[in-house]
Parts: sequence; C-alpha cells; structure tokens
Amino acid sequence: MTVLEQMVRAVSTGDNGWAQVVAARTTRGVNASGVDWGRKGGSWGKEGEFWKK
Amino acid sequence: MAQWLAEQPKTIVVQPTTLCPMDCTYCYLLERHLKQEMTPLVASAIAAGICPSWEPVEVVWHGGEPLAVGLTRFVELLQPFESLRRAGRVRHKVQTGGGRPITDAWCDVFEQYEISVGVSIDGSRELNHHRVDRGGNPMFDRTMASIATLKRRGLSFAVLAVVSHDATGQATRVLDFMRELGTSWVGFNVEAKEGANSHGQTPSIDDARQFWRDTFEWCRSNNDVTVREVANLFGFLGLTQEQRDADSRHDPIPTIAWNGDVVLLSPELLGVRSTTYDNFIAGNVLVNDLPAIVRRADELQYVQEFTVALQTCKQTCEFFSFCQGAHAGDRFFEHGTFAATETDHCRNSVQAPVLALAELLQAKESR
Repeated sequence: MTVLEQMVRAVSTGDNGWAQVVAARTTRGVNASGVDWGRKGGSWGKEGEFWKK
Repeated sequence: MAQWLAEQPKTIVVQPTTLCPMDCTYCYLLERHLKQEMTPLVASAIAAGICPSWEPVEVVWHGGEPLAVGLTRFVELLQPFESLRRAGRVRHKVQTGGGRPITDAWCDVFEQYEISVGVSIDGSRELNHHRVDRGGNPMFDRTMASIATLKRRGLSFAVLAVVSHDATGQATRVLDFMRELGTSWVGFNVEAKEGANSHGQTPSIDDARQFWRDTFEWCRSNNDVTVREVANLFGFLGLTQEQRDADSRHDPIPTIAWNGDVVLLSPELLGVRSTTYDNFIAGNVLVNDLPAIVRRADELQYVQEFTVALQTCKQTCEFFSFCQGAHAGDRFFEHGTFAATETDHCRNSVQAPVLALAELLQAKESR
C-alpha cells in the first residue's frame, strides 16, 4: 500500500484527530467549490499554480 | 495532440516586459535587466488567437515585473482583450513582486479591468531579505506600501512566498505574518534551481518536511488563510478512488514573450537558450496562429520528451496520482533533459508535504 493509499484509509476511518480534521475540510472543500479533479496535482494547471515567484 | 496534454490552454502567461527593477537572489529570469517591452500589436495577436471554441482562459500578466511596463502601456495592452473580457472569455491576473509601487491609479485599472492581484513577499522583514533591488537594498518597505494601498482600496490579493533554506524552520512565523498581512491565500514555492538561479541552495527534503509539518499544524488552528499546498492535498484526499486514479492532461500554458515568441509547458523556459531544444520556441504569435502553435505542441522535441517522461513518472513514482508528474522546467534545469523524472520540486513540494501529513495521520495521539 502506498503512502497516499494509507492516508486515504486513515482519513476514511478517522483514526485520530488529524484524520477528522482532514476529513472535515476535505468534505467542506468538495461541497463548497467542487474539486476540479481533471486539474489535480502540483502542476501549473492548478488554480493559482501559475504564480511562481 | 499528445495524450498527456490538454487540447486547449486554461492559462496563458504574458510577459509585458522582461525588465524587473528587483534583483532577488533566487530569481530564475535571465533577462530581467533588459528593458524589452511588448507592443499593442503583439497583444492584439494574442487576443486574436484566443479561440472561440476554448473555454474561458486566464491571462496572467507575469514578468519580469509586469508593472514595470508602466501604466499607460499596460492599459494599451489590455485593450485587445476587452471584448473577450466583457464576454467572460478572459480573466486577467497580475503577479507583482513590488518592483514598482501599486498606486491608486494602478488600483483603478485593477478594478476597471477586474484584474486579480498576486503579490510576492516571503514573510517579515527578516525573512524577506532575499528580495532586494539592483542596489542590494531591501524591498520590504516598498512591497508593504503597495499592499497597504491595495488594502486601503479594499482590493483582495493573493501571496506567493519563496521558501528558502533559511526559512524552512520558520513556517509558523511566516504564516502568522501572512494572516496579519490580510491575505486569504498563500502559495509556497520552495526554492529550486531554475534558470538564472542555477546555484541556489535548495532545502533538503527533511527541512521541507519540517516546514510542511509546521504548516499543517498552523492550518489546523487557523482557517482564515488558505495554503495552496495544503488545500491541494486535502482536495486530493477527498476525491473518489476513480478520480484519484485518473490521469490529468497538462495545460500547455503558452507563455508569450514581449516579442510574441511562445514557449510551452513552463513559463521559466522563456528566455532560456538551448541549441538542443531551439530555445524552446514553439512559434511567434505575429506569424503563427496561437491555436495552431498549441495544436503542434507534440512536434516539439522537448514536449515529446516531457510526455514520455510523464509515463515514466506514472510507472515509477508512488506519488504520481497526486502529483501527476514533475514540472517540465524543473526537469530541464536540474537534469538538462525533459526525460528526467524526480526533481527537487517533487521532493520538497510534493513528497515532503505528503510525508508530513502522513506522519500526522499515523500518530497515535492527536493534539
């Protein structure tokens, strides 16, 4: 299992306070504006990512 | 069009001038001392190239220092985009490093043309010491004066901050400063070797990991500032399995120089010389149609190498589903080729925050 998969599992099971924080904010984020998953990631295509220095 | 590239850009980066009055120690711009300015003819060619079938695009006025082109010329350059902006097909953004003061007249332009403003500042006076003018004098007070003008006018602004080696232990101080500054959005760029900054001191992944851990801790108790990297990772963790596994198509990000030259994939490639890659020039808007330049992207050697390397990233990196592949410019500047995979940015701005949050999620006790 990759570290990302472990994180997803931890958030879904609410293992600790941090998992609950992430789950709450993730849910809020998705509901508030929708995650544009087609542009996910750390590349320049992401909102705001064009701002370099 | 290569399977990894989007068929249309959502971001077009425009360089109204190569000039920047600043001389930041980590700057990647090779021609920032030259005063080469875009003409309205070039701006008209860019606007004419925004294809009617494209979804709305962001036109990002970048630099050099974009305000260094002067207010009169800047407004002239905006005119060809006006019908597009009024139709909702173009949205302007500007990123300033504070190299020219933001005056009330500039604020009038930002309001009139609905321009979103980003300001570059790294933190408090002590942490902003890399940002200096050509005489080596600190820019801090001048940048703060510009921010004060924005705030007085009620204009919101985003912040970009560079995290240098000496700031990796200062995340809390930096974020406290950003909150006091009055911004609601911060993006952190961990210093990397790019362009002219080929000898910069890149933080280690352990230092970066500490920075991100402190950042997550700060964000846990502070909701009033969105940190780009935190929001990105939280957003990813909220996706469905199918969405997490899907591959993104990279924005070709046409970046257009003062003279109309176009580079693709990474704005940092603009002005960089390379005989191997024909200086990365994909075309010139004065002689080539912008949509045609984008359509022919996969004919370029560096784009071909980049897309092949994305497949390698996918096959070899456990962070790929979140990251979607290293930036093109970072690959070239660190390895001299786009075929390389892992970069400092991968380690410090993708892996380090993931590992920092993973550590917090796996802790037995939470605060």
